[in-house]
Amino acid sequence: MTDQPILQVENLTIDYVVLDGIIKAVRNVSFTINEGEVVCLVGESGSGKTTVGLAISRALPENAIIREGRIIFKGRDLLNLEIRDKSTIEDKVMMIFQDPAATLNPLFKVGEIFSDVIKHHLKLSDQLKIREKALEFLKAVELPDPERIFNSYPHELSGGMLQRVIIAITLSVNPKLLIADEPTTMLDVTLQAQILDLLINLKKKFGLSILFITHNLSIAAEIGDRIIVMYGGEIVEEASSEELLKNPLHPYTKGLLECIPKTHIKYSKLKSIPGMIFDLRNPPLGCVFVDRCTEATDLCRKDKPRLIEFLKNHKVACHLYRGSTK
Amino acid sequence: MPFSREYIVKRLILLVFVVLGVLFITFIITRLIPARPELLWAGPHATIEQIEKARKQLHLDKPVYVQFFLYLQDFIMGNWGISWRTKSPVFTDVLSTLTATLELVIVAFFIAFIVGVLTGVIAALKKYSWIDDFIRIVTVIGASIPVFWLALIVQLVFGNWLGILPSAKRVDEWIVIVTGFKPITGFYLIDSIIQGNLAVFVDALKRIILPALVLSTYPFCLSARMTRAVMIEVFSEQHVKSLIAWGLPERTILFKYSLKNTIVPVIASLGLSFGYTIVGAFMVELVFVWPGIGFYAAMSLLSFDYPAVIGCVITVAIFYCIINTVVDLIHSIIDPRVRL
Repeated sequence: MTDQPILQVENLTIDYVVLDGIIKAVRNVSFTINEGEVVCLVGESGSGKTTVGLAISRALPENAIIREGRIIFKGRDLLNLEIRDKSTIEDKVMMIFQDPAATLNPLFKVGEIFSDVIKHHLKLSDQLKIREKALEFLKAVELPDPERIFNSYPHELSGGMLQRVIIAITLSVNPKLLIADEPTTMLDVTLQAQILDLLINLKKKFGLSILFITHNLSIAAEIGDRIIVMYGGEIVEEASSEELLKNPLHPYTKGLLECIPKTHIKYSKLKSIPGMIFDLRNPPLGCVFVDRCTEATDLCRKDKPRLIEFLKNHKVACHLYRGSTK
Repeated sequence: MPFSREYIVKRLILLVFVVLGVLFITFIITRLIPARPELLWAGPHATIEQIEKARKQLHLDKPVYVQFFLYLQDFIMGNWGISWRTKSPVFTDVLSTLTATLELVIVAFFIAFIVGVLTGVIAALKKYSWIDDFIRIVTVIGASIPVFWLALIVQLVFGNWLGILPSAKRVDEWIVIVTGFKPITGFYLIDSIIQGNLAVFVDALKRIILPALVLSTYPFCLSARMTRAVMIEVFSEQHVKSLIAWGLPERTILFKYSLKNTIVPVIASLGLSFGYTIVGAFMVELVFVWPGIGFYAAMSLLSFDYPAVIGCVITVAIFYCIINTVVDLIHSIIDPRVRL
């Protein structure tokens, strides 16, 4: 891992235009991902984590508007590129999604889709070579019997197998940054661990950087070098995985950590953070977490806390940590 | 093959029950109409005795259920009765008119499917543009226009005023006689090619254009609207987005992948519109003097010709079932998740 940033997101602000107003999904989000690093974006539903991922992979839906910000990937601002240029970039950002069953066209064999991708990406035309290449990638994602999988339709494969196939196809496009949007959420717990291990192995093998989007802090802690916690479209805390687990600063992060069921205490009541996320059409003037925070003061309502580096490599946006810097 | 022989057998058995049901309903309805077909059978100057004799001959003096079972018995033996109007067996009448209608309907559906899907794809690609608006307005109008009115207007404009295309009959009798054309399959377009008879082929082609266009209007509008709607939905699906992300060219994504997803429901809806199109064929054939089953059925209806009417209805019902079975089989061939 080097400290060379592969991706810099600066002041990213994204709105969704919907029938009854404008949803301010992401506001002033800035972070970087270094080469070879696994960064986890953690937050509950509606925190804007997926929107950030979609913006980076330039797959935002039509009703999304990027109001502000820059996404600099390998020195080029992705938001200024023409759509036509997208296919000409050699180092790509690729995204894998939550539902593997919806990601492959159900009417085509896995091998046919894979062959087309390889044909266009590697500029191959020899059918045998294409097939060989595809089988190579299927082996790389530790799939048993790649021949059979090559000749299968998506519905004949299990969710875990499909997710591996999708990772294989995605890798064949030679991405430098992989955005994984809850890739294990729809899988069994046992499979989750396998897929996570696989991603870590592939990271080393293919020299990937990964932006891992999840709502699950324990998965984030397991896989991530660094964790960014989002709430209501803003970043509230950012630190290395160990630091964040050991020493969470923001009340929201603390709450999230308390929500992880504790297996060593029997019959303990499952914890949750009381309240709901606010209406994203009208974000609060002050702190985004103010309505659910037990330590909120008048200041929190009026003034929005800035994301500051309170401890070394540990950023937090909360008035509790206002006084001292560093 | 993605379907089993048992499936086809099952569908055929089902077909028997559908035919029985249709037979029963049409038989009852035709008998409920307060008409006296024996008068037609006996002729305009018949005496009372002759009419009474005709009544007996046609079993009209017996109770309706006896009539039904007598009819059923004959029907199964291939004796669909004698047309009271043409005085020839209904079975041969239906067979000889059926091919004319099938030729017309097949050409109409062919036009509707190809042009409809293309139009739908254009509308979906240019979603919300003026082209899309135009296509949507035209297809709504096209789907709402009564087919008999359209047939009359088209005949008037293209046949009479502009005089570009002939607007009646399947083929010119003179050309048939001069060139010695003999129908084999009953599909004139195919027969003329088999016999290398260019004159008949050209004439038959010219004559089928107008009625086929009129008949294709409804299924065309249906498939265009359907294609547009389904394709827009398909474009928003994850599997299309992932193909875009993996960098496949737009052409491949559209014509190889998305079109296949789109076509399944379009074919299904076209199959269902077959019944409506047959009703349209009745009107179109009447206007264009097309000697098909629609023309025959319309004439039979107007003269209370029970056996002929039932024969036509049964034939259409059988074809409706067959078409929908074929649609299901096509579905199972296109979609690997469907196994019949």
